[in-house]
Amino acid sequence: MSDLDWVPEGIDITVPSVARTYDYLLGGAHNLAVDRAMGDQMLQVLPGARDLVRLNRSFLRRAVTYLAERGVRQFLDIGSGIPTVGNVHEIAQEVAPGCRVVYVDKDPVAIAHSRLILADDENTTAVQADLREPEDVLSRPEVTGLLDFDEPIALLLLLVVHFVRPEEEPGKLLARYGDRLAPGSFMVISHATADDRAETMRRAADTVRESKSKDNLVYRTHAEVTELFDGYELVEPGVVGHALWRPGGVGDIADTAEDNTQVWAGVGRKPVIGGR
Amino acid sequence: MTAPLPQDADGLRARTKLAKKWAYLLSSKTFIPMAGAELERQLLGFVERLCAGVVSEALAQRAGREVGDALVALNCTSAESLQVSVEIVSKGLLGMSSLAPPDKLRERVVDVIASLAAGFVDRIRASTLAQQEQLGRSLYKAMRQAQAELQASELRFELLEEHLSTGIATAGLDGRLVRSNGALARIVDRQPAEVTGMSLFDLVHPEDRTALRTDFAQLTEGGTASITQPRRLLRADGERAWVTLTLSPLRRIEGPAQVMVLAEDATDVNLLQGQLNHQALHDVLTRLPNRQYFTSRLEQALRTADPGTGVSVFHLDLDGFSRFTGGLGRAVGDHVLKIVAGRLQAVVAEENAMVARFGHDEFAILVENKQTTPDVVTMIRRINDVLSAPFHSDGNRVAVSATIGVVHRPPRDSTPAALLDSADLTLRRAKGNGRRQWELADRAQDGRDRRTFSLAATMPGAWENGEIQVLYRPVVRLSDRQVESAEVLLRWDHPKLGALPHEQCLALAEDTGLIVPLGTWALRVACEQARAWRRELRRDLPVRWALTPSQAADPDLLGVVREVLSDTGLPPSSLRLGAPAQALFGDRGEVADNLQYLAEDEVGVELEEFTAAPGDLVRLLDGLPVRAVRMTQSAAAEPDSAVARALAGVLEVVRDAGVGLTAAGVTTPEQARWWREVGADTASGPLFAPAGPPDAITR
Ligand SMILES: C[S@@+](CC[C@H](N)C(=O)[O-])C[C@H]1O[C@@H](n2cnc3c(N)ncnc32)[C@H](O)[C@@H]1O
Repeated sequence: MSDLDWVPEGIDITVPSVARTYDYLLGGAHNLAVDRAMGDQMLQVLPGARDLVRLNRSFLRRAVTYLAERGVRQFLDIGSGIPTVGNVHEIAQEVAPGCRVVYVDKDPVAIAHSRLILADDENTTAVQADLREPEDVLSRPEVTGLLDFDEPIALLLLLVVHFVRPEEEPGKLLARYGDRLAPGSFMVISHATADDRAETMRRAADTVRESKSKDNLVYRTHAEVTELFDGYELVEPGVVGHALWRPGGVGDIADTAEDNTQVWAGVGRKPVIGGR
Repeated sequence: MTAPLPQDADGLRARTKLAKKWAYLLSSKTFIPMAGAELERQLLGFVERLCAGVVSEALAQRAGREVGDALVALNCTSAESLQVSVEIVSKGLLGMSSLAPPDKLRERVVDVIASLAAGFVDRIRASTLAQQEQLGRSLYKAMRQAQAELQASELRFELLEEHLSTGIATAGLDGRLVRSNGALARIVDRQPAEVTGMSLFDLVHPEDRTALRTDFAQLTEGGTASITQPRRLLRADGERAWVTLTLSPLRRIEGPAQVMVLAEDATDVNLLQGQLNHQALHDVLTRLPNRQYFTSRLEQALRTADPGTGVSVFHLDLDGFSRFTGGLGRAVGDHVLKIVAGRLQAVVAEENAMVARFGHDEFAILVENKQTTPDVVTMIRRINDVLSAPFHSDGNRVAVSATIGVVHRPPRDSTPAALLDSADLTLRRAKGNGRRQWELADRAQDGRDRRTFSLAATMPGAWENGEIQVLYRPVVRLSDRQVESAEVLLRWDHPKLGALPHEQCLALAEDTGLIVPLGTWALRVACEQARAWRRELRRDLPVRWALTPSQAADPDLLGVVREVLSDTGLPPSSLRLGAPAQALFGDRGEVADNLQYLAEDEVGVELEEFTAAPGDLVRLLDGLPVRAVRMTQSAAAEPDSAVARALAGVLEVVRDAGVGLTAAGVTTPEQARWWREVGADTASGPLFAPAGPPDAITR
């Protein structure tokens, strides 16, 4: 009977949320007991989980810095999570103060929190929407109001596309975003894989599946992640382990070699001439 | 705050080395949002600060706390970060012998490191609390937002629930309905209030109960998918209603789970499948047989009835029913129809009879007469007696009456279709006489009626096709034969029958109710014409329209006239409206009111078909706002007859009362002269000019 009782996804404090668990693994305190329990379970099966989120976050920092240095001034960060340390607007605005950032997440708490943090920054905003509904995301007044789609935009999809199921056709889904982006725009993806340590990763995915959370981890191979960049030119060094994408220091890599390649990462650029 | 640090190259090298090592260890433990070089630079700052603390005892505590605090700000929040920091920094500092005298160094380093740990812990507690508080606020906000959205979607749902024809209900897990909409009540033919509170298991056909229980069990066991099945519901009258029943689990924030029930009326589908014929033969609202059912029963009755007594068909039309639906709303109208249905059934309860609903407000009764059946007049009286008993509907006290056409004992070889046609014509004839009338079928009359009706039926189309014209007949001043005003007439140029004159146009339009829009149109055309004449001729040439009885009584008349006048810009005094004397004196308050208001607006009100009978005269003189009376030639008869002389006397009284006089239908110069003598100012008729297009007036 209680199975029928219902609280909107992300607000039920008896169900772990991906966003808050991720915050816990990153060392934040924006999390609840259920989230920490799930994080700890993750650490059991995948002791390098903390390193993985650290490396992912470092990759995010390097990618955003790279893009801002190449003149990108607009960022659409989907699956942005709970703002913690080193958020996209902070990184980008350090390079160029006028950078505009829209954060999109389906998690209502993550968005409420983003709004709390961003209240005073008129160059940033946060929207609760679902990656899997591109037309909805792209037509939100917050998005159309802050971003100029005639100018290059960086679409950031970090550790989020692996929540899209195969039957939801992530390739076609991303193309619907790509179609709206001006030439010279970029897409950044980081995506968990089970190309190595298949068994460990399967158990990690089971941990998420067995929790009451609705999200499921769907790993993709190197080839599949590369395919997501269809229509884009991959920036050097292409789709690689997240630690190996232009690392700049010890913080960018882990001691365990597998952790360095447990997440595929890449940056693609929408060609100016020709293209899709 | 800076105490002098040893500036030698060795000291700097040692500090840089420590910072590098520290950065390396920290950044491999935790995410620090900056590039490696920047982190090293910051950590070098920390090292220098700590060294200063070792150098100066006074600074030791402060420096240590500051660095502990700054570490947390860099996101070095884990126990591991503190552990590596304490380890590497204390070792490093202890190795820097130049910072303090050998006997003091250990103690000072311990001081600084202890403070670092304390600063770290303080900051981490504060930051954890702050983050948890933020999280609480965000959760709360998200919850509020979700509630607001829930409310909005509830509103949307309620709106849908009210307007959909799909039955919608919410049931407890035991099947009891805690909420249901009007559509569901309609499907099961019960009052909405009655349905809520019932169990879905009682509403469903007994044969479907077990299956429904299985569905419910599936949902209560935590099934999340909805279940859709064709099911039979039980109507109040015991008939079954086929529905497509969908059950969905209802997830709720608070309270026990519920089941959402959708019942789509699948009757049509099943009619097609031939599973059910009740609905096909009955009127949904009143549950009475419909015309189709009635017809087949009639056919049978005609064949089998006792030839000595035969059958009778009563065709009823409720008087002024549109008043209920228009004025009091559809629900009251529906209620009235149901009451009428019940009462009619009661009237013939003793008879071998069938009561049917034919359409909107039309009912029919078929009686297979017996020796004891009352005669037609008694039946009619009983019908109107039961109908006229007032009742309450939605707070209104209402009473109805009916007009009835009767076909009594038709020949046995009549076809049902012909018989119903005849009943229909008789009914219309009865209606022509007013409300609460009745009439017996008469074959000769039927033939005439049929022709008129078919003509009347084509009139709206003819009007649209421009076959109906507005014509003007000059009204001349008897003193100088100048055109004083114009009478407005209609003519229907019928493609087959030729020109149908004004009087026939009006009679036909009156039959079909077309008169009101047609009359309004004629008024408008005429007023536009009058306005055009004013402009062209630079003088006032009023137009005059004779209102029909229903126009004169139309509650919208005043509004229509005002609108036409304001649209055309014609002064009210340039419009004259003739009101039929019988309508005015027939004790119909509406007509008198209408004329009173029109006169106050300065529209010229004239009395039509004035008979000069003493009663009319008295009422005329009794302050009616009439500018003139109009009399037709025939009333005056021959100029030097006795009638004419008597009339002259009456007209003198009219003139004395300040009321004008105009004559119509004047054919000879003698007549014209006579009218002039008795005080008529103006006249029209064949003597002067026939009706024609506008230029008939200006020529
Ligand atoms: C692992 S976190 C990644 C956070 C951030 N992008 C980063 O890489 O640091 C994944 C986030 O994606 C969000 N997410 C998952 N599925 C999503 C979807 N379909 N639409 C939008 N956000 C989604 C989750 O709520 C969560 O906040």
